[in-house]
Amino acid sequence: MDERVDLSALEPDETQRELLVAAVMFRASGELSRRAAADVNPIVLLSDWLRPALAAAAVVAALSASVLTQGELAHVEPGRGLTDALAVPAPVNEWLISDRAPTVADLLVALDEGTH
Amino acid sequence: MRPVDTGGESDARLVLRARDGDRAAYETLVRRYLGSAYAVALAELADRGDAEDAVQDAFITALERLDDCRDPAAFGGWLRRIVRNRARSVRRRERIRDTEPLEHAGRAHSTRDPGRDLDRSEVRRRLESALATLSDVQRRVVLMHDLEGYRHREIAVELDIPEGTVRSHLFFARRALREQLGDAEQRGRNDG
Repeated sequence: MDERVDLSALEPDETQRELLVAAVMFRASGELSRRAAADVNPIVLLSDWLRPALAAAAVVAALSASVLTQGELAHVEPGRGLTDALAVPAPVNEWLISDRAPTVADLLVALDEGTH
Repeated sequence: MRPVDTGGESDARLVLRARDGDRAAYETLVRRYLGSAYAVALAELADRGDAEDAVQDAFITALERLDDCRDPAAFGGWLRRIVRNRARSVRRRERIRDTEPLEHAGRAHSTRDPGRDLDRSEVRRRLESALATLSDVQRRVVLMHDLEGYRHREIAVELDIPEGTVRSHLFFARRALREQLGDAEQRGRNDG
């Protein structure tokens, strides 16, 4: 009288099991999607951005170099420096060559020349 | 009804993957614990339709609260507690509603199934009818022990009753079931 009663017939059969699994997974879809969306790692996100950003920067650099070498610099007369070609004011050019910081008076003079 | 072997991946790993929204990982957990969850629900509710609903609800609740599962390696026990709580809540609601008797509910669900395996369906129907004659605690004890595979001590802890009482309930529940099933079998022979 102490032996187990065979209750295995109460277990869900294969069809019931599959239906139950399908029902649970259908109801779980929303929560799983929410979790998957919330799981975006900031570093992964950054790396996703990094590649196109670097590609864009490379394109901009290439275009800029192209413009600088073939555009404005093409009109540079022989004997003129880069500062002339870029229309750098003469006083500024002098500060650059002499490697000194401009005084307030220098700045006022340079501004005055720049406006004329 | 111990967990079904669904591959080598540990519960802990599956829980961590499911927390990140991994569908395959959660489905593996569902398949692994569906049987034991169902047995727990059936022990509380005695009605297969209600038990299935409680199992579904419990798996969804478990997923929503997966971050609260402090020990992912013990997912099975954690889930069974959710199933039991859910089933008890359904049972309280059913009592308040005071719906049809259990044996009628069992028959209603039996006829709802396609019933490919008629023998199995018949045995199931008889078992459900027999279980419906037991007290709540007897039914829980016999299902936990003979269907879920719990030990006496585990049932005692789970139901908060002495181990000797568990043994006593199990003894009388089995005897009642055998009598019921024997009577049904005898009636079947006489009818045939």
